[in-house]
Amino acid sequence: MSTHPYKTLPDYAFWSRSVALPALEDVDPVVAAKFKITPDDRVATGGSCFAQHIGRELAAAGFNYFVTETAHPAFEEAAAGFNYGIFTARYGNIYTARQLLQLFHRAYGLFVPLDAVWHEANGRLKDPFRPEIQPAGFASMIEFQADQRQHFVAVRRAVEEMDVFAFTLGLTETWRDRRDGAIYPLCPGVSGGTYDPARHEFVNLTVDEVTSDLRAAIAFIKERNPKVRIVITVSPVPLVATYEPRSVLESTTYSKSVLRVAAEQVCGAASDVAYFPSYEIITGNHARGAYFGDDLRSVTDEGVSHVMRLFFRHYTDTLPHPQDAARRSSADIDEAAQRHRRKMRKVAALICDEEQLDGR
Amino acid sequence: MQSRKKRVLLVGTSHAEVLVRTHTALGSACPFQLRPIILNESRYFPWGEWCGDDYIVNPIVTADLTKALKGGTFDHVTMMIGGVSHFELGGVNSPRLFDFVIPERTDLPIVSGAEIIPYDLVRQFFRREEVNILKPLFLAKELAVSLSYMLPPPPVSDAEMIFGHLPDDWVEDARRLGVPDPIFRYKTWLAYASVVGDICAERDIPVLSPPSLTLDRDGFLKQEFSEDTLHGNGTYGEAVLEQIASFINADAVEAA
Repeated sequence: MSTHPYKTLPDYAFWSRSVALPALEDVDPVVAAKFKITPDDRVATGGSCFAQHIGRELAAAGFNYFVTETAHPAFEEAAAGFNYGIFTARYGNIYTARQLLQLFHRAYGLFVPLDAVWHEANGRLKDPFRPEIQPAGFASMIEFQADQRQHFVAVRRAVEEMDVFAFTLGLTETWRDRRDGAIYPLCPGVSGGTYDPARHEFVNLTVDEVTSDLRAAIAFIKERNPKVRIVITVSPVPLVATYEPRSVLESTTYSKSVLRVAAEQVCGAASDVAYFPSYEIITGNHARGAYFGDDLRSVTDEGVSHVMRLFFRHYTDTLPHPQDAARRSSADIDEAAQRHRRKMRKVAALICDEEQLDGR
Repeated sequence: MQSRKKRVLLVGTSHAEVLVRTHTALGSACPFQLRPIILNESRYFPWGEWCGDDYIVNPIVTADLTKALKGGTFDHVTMMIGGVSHFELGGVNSPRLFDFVIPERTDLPIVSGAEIIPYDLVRQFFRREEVNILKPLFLAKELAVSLSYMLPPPPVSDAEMIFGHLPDDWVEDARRLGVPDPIFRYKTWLAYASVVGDICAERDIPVLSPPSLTLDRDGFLKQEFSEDTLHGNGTYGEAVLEQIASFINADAVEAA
């Protein structure tokens, strides 16, 4: 009987055995993790909206989701919509590797975009590079500048202290300031700012550009944090719209293909930069589209669970102890501030009660 | 024939109690009759509390208020509910020192080294509290002919004064963490008052600001009108009663 190289390959190499035949929830395209994440590793996240799931699920499982820009404990209950904790720092969605690289450069004072702030018609101010970070923008220039300084401190701390960085590549289509190349997360005019064709240009990044930007961003982190390990994923969420003169379906295929190839090239043989196939888990034929919601874009909870189940299975050995999870849920200073706030509430009530007694 | 004194229903918490005491002290000299519903009384305890994300007003409060207002015997209802949440932020320094910028008052200095909280978030903090704490006010709006909301007084400018009015177990914390700069405390009151003003404006409820004669030129409560770090004293109460009387008269003229 003849033999050939495929004869000895494991199941994962065969479509029928690893994709077509297993039950949906059993499909597991992760062959080998390049490294393991321990419960104490500080895991930072960034990227497109799909990356939000990673931080949330890590925290829920008790892992050390590293948040360097937290809501002040006094305001935690009111902070929904202000994007604290959605990612490691309050940078909002980072759709492209170039946006990530420029964020690092801005945080370290290496790049100061000409388009520094958007003055809205209602007197509010918006950050061109995180226009949706607050529901209604910033109330004053002093606040805007102070918040940006705090944000950059948080970004620098993330870069220098994280043990693992999970980054999700989202898009290749983006908008750029012609004058200095600053990349916007959203086209000016969509969520603030004013679109000006003389200043703003559409860009659809190529494989070489994404690869180069991603490599530069990783190198930037490693220069400051040599032990960091990186997990790259590609968002399975299709484009909401394309500016290319073609179908959004075609553009989605292009974008995701470019991102997937760039991820492959960057991760390659590096032992500390891994590709995690969340894109394949969600979009693969085995799912028959079941992991997308009714809009055919949103990833369902079942899809997210499948991704994270495999992430935990392959990238972790030890599940966190619940007490450890509770312990690291916030920094000491935040715990003190939380205690303080509770006490202040009590104090305020007590003073009022004393008044009540005085009145009788 | 002597005209009947107007009847005023006063609903409030600790800030209202000074008005009750002052009204009693004034006796017949007060231009209106006052019936208080003081929500701090034990029969209402707790008059409102958070249950998860919901703020529940004690049904006895709702019942008493409804009964009082449905009788139609009051010419005016004024409320002094809450007025504490700004103190939660501005009583003693937080271990994570913070400050914020009021866009209309960028002249007010920022605490050195403090984390800057977005002003909208500060407002959201107050709105979340006050839009719930003021539920009895909204009920009164549905049932009362004439209604007003009386803002609590701003803080005094004397940073030392707060020490004398903190519970004993807090003095050490106040020494360790510090008492906020008076301007910070004033800002918390301004933000609070602005949010309450907006909530009332959305429901067409008139808001009475602290009487101007009780404030110094920077907007702080003059020390001679202060009971403690949070409440006005009897002299303040007199000024507020006069203010309410003026409002009722003006309201009546407008209605006529």
